[in-house]
Amino acid sequence: MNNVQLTLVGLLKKCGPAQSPLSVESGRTVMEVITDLGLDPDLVAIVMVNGRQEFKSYRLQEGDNVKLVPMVGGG
Amino acid sequence: MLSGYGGQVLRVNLTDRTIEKTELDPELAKDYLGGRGFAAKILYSEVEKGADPLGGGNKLIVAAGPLSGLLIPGAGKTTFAAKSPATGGYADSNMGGLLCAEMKYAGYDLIIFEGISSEPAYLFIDDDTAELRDAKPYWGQGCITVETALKKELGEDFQIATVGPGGENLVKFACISHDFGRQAGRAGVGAVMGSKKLKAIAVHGTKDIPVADMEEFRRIGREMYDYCRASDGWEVWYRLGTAGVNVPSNEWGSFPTRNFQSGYFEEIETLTGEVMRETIVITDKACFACPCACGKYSYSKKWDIHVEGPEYETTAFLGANVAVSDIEDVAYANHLCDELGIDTISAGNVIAFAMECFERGIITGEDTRGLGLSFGDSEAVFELIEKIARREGIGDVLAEGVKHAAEVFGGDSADFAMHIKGLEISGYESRNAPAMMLAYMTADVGGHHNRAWAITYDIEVGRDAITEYKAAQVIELQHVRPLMDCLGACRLQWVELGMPLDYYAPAMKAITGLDRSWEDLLHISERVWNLTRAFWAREVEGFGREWDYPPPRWYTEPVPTGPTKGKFVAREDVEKLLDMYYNQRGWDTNGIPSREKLEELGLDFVAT
Repeated sequence: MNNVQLTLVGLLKKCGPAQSPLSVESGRTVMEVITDLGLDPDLVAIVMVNGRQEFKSYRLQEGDNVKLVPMVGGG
Repeated sequence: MLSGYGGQVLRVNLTDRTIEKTELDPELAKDYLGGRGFAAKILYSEVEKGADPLGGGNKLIVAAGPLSGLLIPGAGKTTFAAKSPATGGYADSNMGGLLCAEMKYAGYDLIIFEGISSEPAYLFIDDDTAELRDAKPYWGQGCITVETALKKELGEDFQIATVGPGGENLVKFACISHDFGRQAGRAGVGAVMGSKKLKAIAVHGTKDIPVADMEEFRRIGREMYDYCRASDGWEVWYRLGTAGVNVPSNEWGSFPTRNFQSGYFEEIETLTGEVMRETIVITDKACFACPCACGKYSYSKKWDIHVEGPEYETTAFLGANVAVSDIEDVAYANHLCDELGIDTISAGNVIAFAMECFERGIITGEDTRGLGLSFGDSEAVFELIEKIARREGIGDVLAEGVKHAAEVFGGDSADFAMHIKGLEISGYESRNAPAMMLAYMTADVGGHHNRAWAITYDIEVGRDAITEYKAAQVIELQHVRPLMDCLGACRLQWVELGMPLDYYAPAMKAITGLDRSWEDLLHISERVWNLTRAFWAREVEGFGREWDYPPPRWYTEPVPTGPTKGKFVAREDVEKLLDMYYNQRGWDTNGIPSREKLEELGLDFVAT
């Protein structure tokens, strides 16, 4: 069931699907979702889940609100 | 009076205790903007060739920029500069906080300290009053202690900068501290201040800063503020500060671990920004006019201490690089460094170096007077910090920096003494990031990241690639980032919140009344970059390409663990990177600016 809301932040909007926020399945890891979306994992600097920083190995749970934050180019 | 500037220069001769006020030279402001631009020009023009960095002939420059003290997000960066006692070359180091704003409200863009005081002194400034006062009661005390005492004595409205025992004892990586945990930390500017027996600067001002077009300035400043607050990155940056980078840096294999033996720390779970937020952070702390508050102020129950941070760099160096994984131990080591007035980056670098030497048997208990030095031993880290700041036992060797320590310890230790030009490398292991490595190799103070955080380009175009594009991006960043240091403003609104650089030229026009494009401003930044290179060439005998080489570990030793396992940048690729870089800069093959380049940049006065 697609019950996790995922938002691509900043430059990642240009790399992933046009639609944002997206709905994705719970039970998968953040890394799996990043790969499914065709994003380079190194470009995703910070993973926020429900306002807290998590590792990419975090397994998504029902109702999670996820933000993927890029490293900002040119920094 | 010049719009955007305090308008005056304060020249303090500590030897004869005279203080002279002069008008700020409009040509200096036009050609060098402020901040590090002022510092580079004055150091090149006024410090005599061959001056002892810790002697009376060196000068300590304190400089604000044209944005400092005005309502532009992050316009609170103060530059401290001198000929470096750590490297013998050019040094500037800047701090956030409120000092430069207060300096400009008192009417000063620049304070130039000359000579050496016979007794400990501090500079007191209250608008037009400027005088040297007795600092004997404060000598020997820590930075935070003295700042607290001076605020109590003079009033909360005074902004204070201090040195601690590290600066007094001429530790080559002593810092200058301000606002209870902000530091100008790098390349030994604190040792220069200590060598002059200048314990502190206390400043209070109430004047206006003239602005050419107030309505337009207010409009742009408001728009920049709103942009920051609405940024997608604001929430993350506000919550975690720079420690939010710990996790991605480790995932990139860039987090210095065990004296840069690796870029991956297996115990990262207890050193994340999130752990810090949930266990020790008690409040958020912002610099002047910043809507982001990336500073995190913490309390460690375990050690019963308060500290600002730990920041990313401190977590890297007093955490992973010495293999300490308890965030409260990192916070305590951070607190010790802040109070004693030494740079956490160099301290964690040189302590890790001593630990590796001990584990390899290059030094023994005889050298350390019985102190065991093993990675992961927090107590040893605390003890070495104290010994370094007070120059006790082996601390006296380590206080000279890692380059010198390798010369003393001998063996093959120079191969893993992690410095460039004598400055300990900061927090990015770069064996699989050639652009970042080039940024370190060519940074104009030695191994420091803040002139060009180029790892973004390594990730963008491929980690292994050695390309002209990467060299070009390093150069571009080396003009953009230091330009912010000329303007007296923080770069993180751009780097972390994505604020467009397009705002800055119109903001400068509204403030100063001078119509200059972004390219015009970058041209000035390039002028300053070439001038600092010329300073190195003048001051360091035989200066050239060899000085830009990274430590051998980076071009001979494959990374043993983590996502970059097996990677290193081969020596011939190091040479290729330098060839590309020098050629694009208009420098000769030894890395010295050509006469044509100097003249193109208006640096005709520079000797070659």
